[in-house]
Amino acid sequence: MKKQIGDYKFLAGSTRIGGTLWEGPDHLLYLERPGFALAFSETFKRLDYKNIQCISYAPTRTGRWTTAWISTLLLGAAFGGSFTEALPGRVTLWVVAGVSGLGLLIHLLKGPTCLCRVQTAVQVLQLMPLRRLRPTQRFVQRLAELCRLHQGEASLEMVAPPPLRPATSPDLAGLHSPVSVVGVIRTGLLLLLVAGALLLIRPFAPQPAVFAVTIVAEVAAGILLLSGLARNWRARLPGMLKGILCGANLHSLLTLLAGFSLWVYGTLTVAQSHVSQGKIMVANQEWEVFRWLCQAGFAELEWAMWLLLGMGGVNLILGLLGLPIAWRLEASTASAPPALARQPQVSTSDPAAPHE
Amino acid sequence: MAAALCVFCNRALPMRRIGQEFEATCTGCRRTSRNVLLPALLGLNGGGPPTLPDETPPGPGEAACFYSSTRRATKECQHCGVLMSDVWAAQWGQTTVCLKCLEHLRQKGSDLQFRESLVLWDNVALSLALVPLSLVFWFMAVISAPSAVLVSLWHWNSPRSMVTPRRWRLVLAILLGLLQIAGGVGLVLALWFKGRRA
Repeated sequence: MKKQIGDYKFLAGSTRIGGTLWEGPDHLLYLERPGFALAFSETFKRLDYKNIQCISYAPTRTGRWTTAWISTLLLGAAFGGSFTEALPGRVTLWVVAGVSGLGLLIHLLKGPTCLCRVQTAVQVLQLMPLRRLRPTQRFVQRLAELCRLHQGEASLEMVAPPPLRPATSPDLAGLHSPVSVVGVIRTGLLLLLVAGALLLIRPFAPQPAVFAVTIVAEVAAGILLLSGLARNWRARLPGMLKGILCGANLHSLLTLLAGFSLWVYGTLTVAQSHVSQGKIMVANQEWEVFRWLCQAGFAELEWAMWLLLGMGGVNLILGLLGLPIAWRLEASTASAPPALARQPQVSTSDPAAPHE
Repeated sequence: MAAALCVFCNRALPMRRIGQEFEATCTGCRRTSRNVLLPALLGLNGGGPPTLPDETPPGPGEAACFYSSTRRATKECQHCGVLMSDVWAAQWGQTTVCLKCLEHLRQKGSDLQFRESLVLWDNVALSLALVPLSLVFWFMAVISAPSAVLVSLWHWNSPRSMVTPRRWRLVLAILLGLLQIAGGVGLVLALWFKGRRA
């Protein structure tokens, strides 16, 4: 990656998802690259050095959680690999352990994780490229130098506990209020509960309507929860709810894969029955597979029925755990008073300096 | 007056000193963050509210604004060269441009200084070429492989990212797309010949 393009000098970030930060002659350029695996667009955000009011950063717990997860995977794979006798299984588990070990090493070398924000009079911008503490400290030092250069030096002590007044909080651009999307999450969790209940009923009620409604509810819940999670990623949602949403999305993905496998299995079974009857299946194959899947019970598909029961149980647990948190969050954000800010007083020896 | 906000819960932080980095603990979430307060927070950056634009009509012999003839021209657009009043002028960094040029330059995206957003067609094409390689969506190759080739060729000269300006993604997308098309055609032909022999 080039370190200088035109007037812009590279400050931080990478070519991957997140974006890069560039030092311009009179402004900071934040090149945002949203996307999944590959970025599909770039958004250019410019912040004048003279308008930046505050630069904040803080270490987060994400790094510790990531270390815990990768370590668990590494230990699990290594443990499994040591006790597996079959060669393919042992090789697979040791490869997983090796990859996890490498990932853990890279993660530890990168250092602790953090959040960094830049505040102006009209927005608070979270800088996504800055997720590690060491590059963030270097960036903050450089940006503060540039801002001081454009705003002039001033060292003013804040004195006396100032009176409380409602904060004239700037528009938090890029930070969605949790209340704006908590309704989406709540609806998604409700649908997850409905889908869970239907999945539990399904093995004992082989009806096409139950099957169809289950699919619709599961897909709708997946979409709503994914949307809620994506829109809330930068909001300060409770960690527990975030975890439940991640789990629910992963579970939806697994359900989708399980559904796909069931469909393939159903197609093969129907085709086999046709071949055994000496028929060639041409038209309405999908409808026939659907009907077969609707009517299948414990006798035909015992493993799939147990799978459905397990999935329904997971759905119910996630929904029952998540809903009270979502309701509590909705209630607390709806009734919360406006934030209070302390009005600072300026003490300076220069009588010409402006006072609030 | 504005206040520094907590990184985690957006509550106002107790402020200490302008110009120096300091550690502050939020009274709401009890988490600690490091902050650098700058003079702009107290309005000491010489900013202040913007002055009202000059609304006086042009006198005899004075140039009128190109966009609003009832206003006196005070500036010249550095992009298209028209004379314009303060109302129609925009200061973009070191450059003064008229609002129409600003909008045009921002949307066109060819000039890095004015660029607003950009679609990364090279990544779009590469994704289209990679989609069928996943085991789940292999059947998408019928549409995505020709699309990858077409998108790559169509956007060969489109503005590219300033971070990754090279064309290797477009080339890779074309190669993968052509390989998939060739594979698909080969498969169909093989099945056809097999059917004829049978």
